[in-house]
Amino acid sequence: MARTIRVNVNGQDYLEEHVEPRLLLVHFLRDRLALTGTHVGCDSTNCGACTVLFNGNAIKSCTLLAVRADGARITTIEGLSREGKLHPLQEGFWETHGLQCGYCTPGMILSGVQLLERYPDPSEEVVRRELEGNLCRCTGYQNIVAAVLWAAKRLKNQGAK
Amino acid sequence: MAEAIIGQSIKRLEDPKFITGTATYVDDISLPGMVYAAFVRSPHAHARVRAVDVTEALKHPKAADALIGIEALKLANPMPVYSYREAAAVKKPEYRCLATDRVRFVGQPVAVVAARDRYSADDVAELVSVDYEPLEALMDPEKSLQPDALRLHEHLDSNVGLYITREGGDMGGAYNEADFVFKKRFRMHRHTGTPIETRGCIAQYNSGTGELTLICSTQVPHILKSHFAEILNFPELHIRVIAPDVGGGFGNKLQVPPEYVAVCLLAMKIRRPVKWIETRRESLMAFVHARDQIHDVEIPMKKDGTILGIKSRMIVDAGGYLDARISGPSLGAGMWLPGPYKMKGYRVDIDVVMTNKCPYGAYRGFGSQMGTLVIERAVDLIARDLKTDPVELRRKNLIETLPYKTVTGHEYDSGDYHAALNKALELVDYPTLRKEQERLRKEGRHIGIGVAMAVEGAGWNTYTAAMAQTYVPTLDYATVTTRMDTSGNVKVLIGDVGCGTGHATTAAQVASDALGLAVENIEVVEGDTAVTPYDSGTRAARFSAIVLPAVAASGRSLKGKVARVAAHLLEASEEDVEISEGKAFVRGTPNRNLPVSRVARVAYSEVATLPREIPAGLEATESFKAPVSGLCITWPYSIHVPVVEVDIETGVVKFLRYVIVHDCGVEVNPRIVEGQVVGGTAQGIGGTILEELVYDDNGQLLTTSFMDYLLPTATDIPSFEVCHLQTAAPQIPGGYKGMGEGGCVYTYAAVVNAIADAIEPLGVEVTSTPLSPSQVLKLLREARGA
Repeated sequence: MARTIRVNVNGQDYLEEHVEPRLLLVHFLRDRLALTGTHVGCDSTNCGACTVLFNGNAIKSCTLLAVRADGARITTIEGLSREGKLHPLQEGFWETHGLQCGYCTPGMILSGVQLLERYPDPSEEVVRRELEGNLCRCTGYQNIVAAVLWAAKRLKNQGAK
Repeated sequence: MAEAIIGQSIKRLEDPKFITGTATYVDDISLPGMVYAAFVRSPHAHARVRAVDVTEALKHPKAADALIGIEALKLANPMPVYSYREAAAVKKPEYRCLATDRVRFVGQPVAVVAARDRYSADDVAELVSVDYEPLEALMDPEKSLQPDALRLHEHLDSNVGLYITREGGDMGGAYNEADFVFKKRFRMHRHTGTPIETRGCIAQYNSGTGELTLICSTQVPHILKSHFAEILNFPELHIRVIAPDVGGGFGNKLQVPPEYVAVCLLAMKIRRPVKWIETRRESLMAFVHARDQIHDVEIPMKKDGTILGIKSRMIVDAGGYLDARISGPSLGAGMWLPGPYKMKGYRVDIDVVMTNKCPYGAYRGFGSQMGTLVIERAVDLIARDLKTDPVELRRKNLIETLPYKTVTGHEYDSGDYHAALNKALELVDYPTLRKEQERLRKEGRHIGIGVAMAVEGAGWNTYTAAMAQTYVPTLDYATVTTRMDTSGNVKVLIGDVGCGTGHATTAAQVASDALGLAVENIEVVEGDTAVTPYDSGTRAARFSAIVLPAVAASGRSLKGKVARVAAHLLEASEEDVEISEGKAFVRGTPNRNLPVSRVARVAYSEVATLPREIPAGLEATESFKAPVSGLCITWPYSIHVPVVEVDIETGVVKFLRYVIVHDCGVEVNPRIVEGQVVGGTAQGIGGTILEELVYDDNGQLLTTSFMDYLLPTATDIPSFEVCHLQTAAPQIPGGYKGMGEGGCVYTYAAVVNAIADAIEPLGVEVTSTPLSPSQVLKLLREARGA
């Protein structure tokens, strides 16, 4: 039976009716809320293109049912920059050429946000390990790692100010 | 004078949309009244289709309509086949967008349905019933070749879909001079590009205007337009193909997808826009497969280590049908066999063989990685037999001076292969590394040093009319339009597709240089056939060598037009007007100047102030035609030196270092170039040690998700040390060579050589891929058993 769910996405409250129980969160975000920055790459929780922050945790929205998001607080790539100012991770990806086709990028950036919350001053090894759940086919990861390290430094400097 | 923009690693202009989630890929687009398509696909590798029944499916409350093979048969012509001159007379397998009476691989589309939403489309597809009569599956190309093998396409004389042969130089002389002939079988396994964005399309037919619009993930929108006109018997005039942002292509998206044809037919039938987005499972089953080749190689040699020639009898496992791009990677592998070495002759005989697998198509490298693997592995094995260092054997045979005419008939253009090799060896400190390897071996650690080099070839002329049947031109060219608006900003219109390759930035840099305007004032538009000039698309690393000179030419032409208007306004002669930093000024008297925006305003609006002979508006279209008529247009090259450690207990390969020296001519944006080099190399590593498309004996694909088809993650891929050499391409204005195939050409050979170097002292001989942990362990077990 279709249900009504309440979610907060990127700071905005939504009351959505007729949510089919089988509707995946990623399709709810994309098709119902028109937040198309969250992508589908593998359908099986492997590639991480669909990564969003769910109550603060990076999760893969392609294998979570939308009804499970009832009452949740979600951040997608569209909600990451504040007042038109890019998040340091977004800046980092741009500065270091951390993306090519851009398809995996939103998921990479959101995984990066969680990574830097857990490890504010990560080594390259930690960055690589923590990004293992996000696949990129274009970059060979080198500049993605550089982007996260760039953002870590930026966040540290911002904190010091 | 402003600082030169060419050669600067500026940040990519296209990035803001990608990092904020506002890029537009196919699945991000919705049209009013749009319905969703789902395909019914064969669960059998080989079967007769007795009947397809959509009655129950159409009763579903959300069903819109359906289309089956025998209906499509009347509406559309077969899919195109790429055919070489020798093959023009050969009968070809007939490939239909939806199967009619036979299916020849698991995943082949049999019917397509449409419904009001994504999930209902899958429900409707499940209600379609298909009556199959399973047939024996041919899964081994060598068995397919046997005279008594079941015929996969009854109207063909055998299971050879295409036979290609090429010969150059004096192979007979090479054998005559030989002291011995090195013979070996090499094999590369089946895998593919797997862009993270799968295929997808939206087809919309407007019966009032007669226009068919296909928005789709592709690298070749203009070529698709031409093909679709042919396949659909539809006026090309009324077809518009739009490639929005494309989430990776890697050559796979050169395909002319049967699914897109079926979706167009459905959209025309039901007069509503139809969207289809491929699932990953579908993509692994039915998007192009690649690489799978066997080479039986003979290399006539002199005792002193001189390579005299190379001959290969090749078997390409084409799958159930011939993809439009099939002969490229087949011929490519053959033509790359001589590599960067001097030799007297070469010959290839290629059987492109039909089996019950997914059709074989293009993937980054287009065969060159296989040719490179063969010659570079062979050089290492010959060095082992001759008890000499593999680097010394390379040095002995490496081409000395450029330009050099090869036995394949190509003219390698510029650079210094010896210097590049020396540079790479210096960067890894080769002599010290060899000693270290020896020391560690005594401690029971298995370190391997791999060296591989190749000359890559960028751009691809098809050079015969038969080969140009798939609209890849016989002589490559690009046409670019540069248009200034009324406020003095410029749009550059290009008919290819930047699918992660940074075209929008690189082209803007070249246009900026040509026009004397800042990159911020320039916007590059790609991928829409209604807006951009005809172009053969993003393929064969042609962008830098072919498209960029056209960008520069049209930029200069527009600059001339701006100067003409400015000259009139500044009361100077046209030759004395210069444009720099957004201003038009009289040479020598920079105070006499006008902003370009003012010039544009006059050219478009205050037209009466201009003399009659000066045309209104500011726009220029120019073409650049390849100055070289051989197969490839420019010849970038690289040396890869990976250093690995193999754990002989687990078979796991760890990279200790990975050094790359490459030369792709003048680099417009070195950071973008390096991104391509590194990305291509990572893809090659995945292809060498992880990825494999595995079929069982009955033709079921066992690797249908990323849980089974393993892409490399950030922990599998090392950091790369990249050294850029820049020898200008002598025949290309600007000196660019192109390098989009990137590291993918060299990696297989380099990594296989490195792993072999680590484990061959244990009695192993490495002649095939993949070198996944289980495969490495298998080799080691066999060696112990022997």
